[in-house]
Amino acid sequence: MSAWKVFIRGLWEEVPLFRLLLGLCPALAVTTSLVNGLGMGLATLFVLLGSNLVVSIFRKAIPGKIRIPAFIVIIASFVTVVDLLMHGYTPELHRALGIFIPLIVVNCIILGRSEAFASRNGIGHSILDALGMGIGFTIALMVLGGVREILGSGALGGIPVTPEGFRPVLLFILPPGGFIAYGLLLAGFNMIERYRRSD
Amino acid sequence: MWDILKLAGSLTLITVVAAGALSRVYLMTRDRIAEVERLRELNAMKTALPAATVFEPDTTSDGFIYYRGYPGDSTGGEPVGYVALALGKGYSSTIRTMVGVDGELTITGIKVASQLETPGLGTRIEEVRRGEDEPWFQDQFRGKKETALQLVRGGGPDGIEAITGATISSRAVSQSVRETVRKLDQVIN
Repeated sequence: MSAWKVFIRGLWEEVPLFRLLLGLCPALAVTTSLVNGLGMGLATLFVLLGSNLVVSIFRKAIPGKIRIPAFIVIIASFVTVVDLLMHGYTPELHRALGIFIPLIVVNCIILGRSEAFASRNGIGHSILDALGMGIGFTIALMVLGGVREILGSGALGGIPVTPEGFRPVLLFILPPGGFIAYGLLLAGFNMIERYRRSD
Repeated sequence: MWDILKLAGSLTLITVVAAGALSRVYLMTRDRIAEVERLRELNAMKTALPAATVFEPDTTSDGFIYYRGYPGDSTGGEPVGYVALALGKGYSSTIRTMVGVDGELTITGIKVASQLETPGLGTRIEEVRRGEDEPWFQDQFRGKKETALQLVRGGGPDGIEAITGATISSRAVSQSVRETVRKLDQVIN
């Protein structure tokens, strides 16, 4: 597989949230606004880069039978490092994302990429895979967060965008609204994909 | 048997290396994080009691911690007001709010110091509306006495307007602020 293909895959064909249907739990929990989606996406991208890199470096040294606990330890360590560094050096961002950061450990995209890609591929491709998947995940979270913010609070990125008289539907920033918005977006993605295939 | 020992050994090695790396990062960031938290606390106290610049901690006999606030750059003399931390049980977290009062027990300001409420709902206790500089919910407390801290539809001078969809978080803040003002009342008088 070419390097470009490894990277670009995560942005459309295998975008985690809409095509692989991975990482739903944190995605539905945090995407109440565009900014939350962006912050969660970037933090995930960073952890994904670190874990893919380390897993691919040591992929031959980690015994197959204990690879999953080994990956979890590596991922949890990177999440803790991100948490500590952000707390010390970007306190404002850390405050805004506070509860979302520990949630990255349970994001199955990261474990999924360690298992399906980094443990079987070289360092270069593993980094590209992490970048593609991480950016794809970030964009998907921003789309979901953006849609929910517009419908649920009538704003985008905190800036009011809906016309006068539009009454925001609070449901969309509540958990059930997360499922509804996600279902609608998923249907949309499948429709686009069907047109793309039939051409 | 040999296989199990080998697996256990590898996993132990991995966790030991991870623990070592984490302790290094922890030591690297520990002082910075403590400093960040100290500054955050000081800023919260200054927001709650803008007239003061230095704060002197004190503890009552039953363990209630409060701060006397002084203007200028040293403690001593007559304090301009008092600050204490209010703890309220919110929807999904304990909401810690710094409360400031003047000598007459009128609230000079409150500042939510930490909370982990529902994003988009309970977190709005810290919301700053577009085009405004101050968080509107916390701003309602300024200038009020302990008796005017009930949740009231529409807010106004006699009450606090709750946040739509986040009544529990709103009540947690207003109730804990009330209790803290009452405790400060006992301290001052």
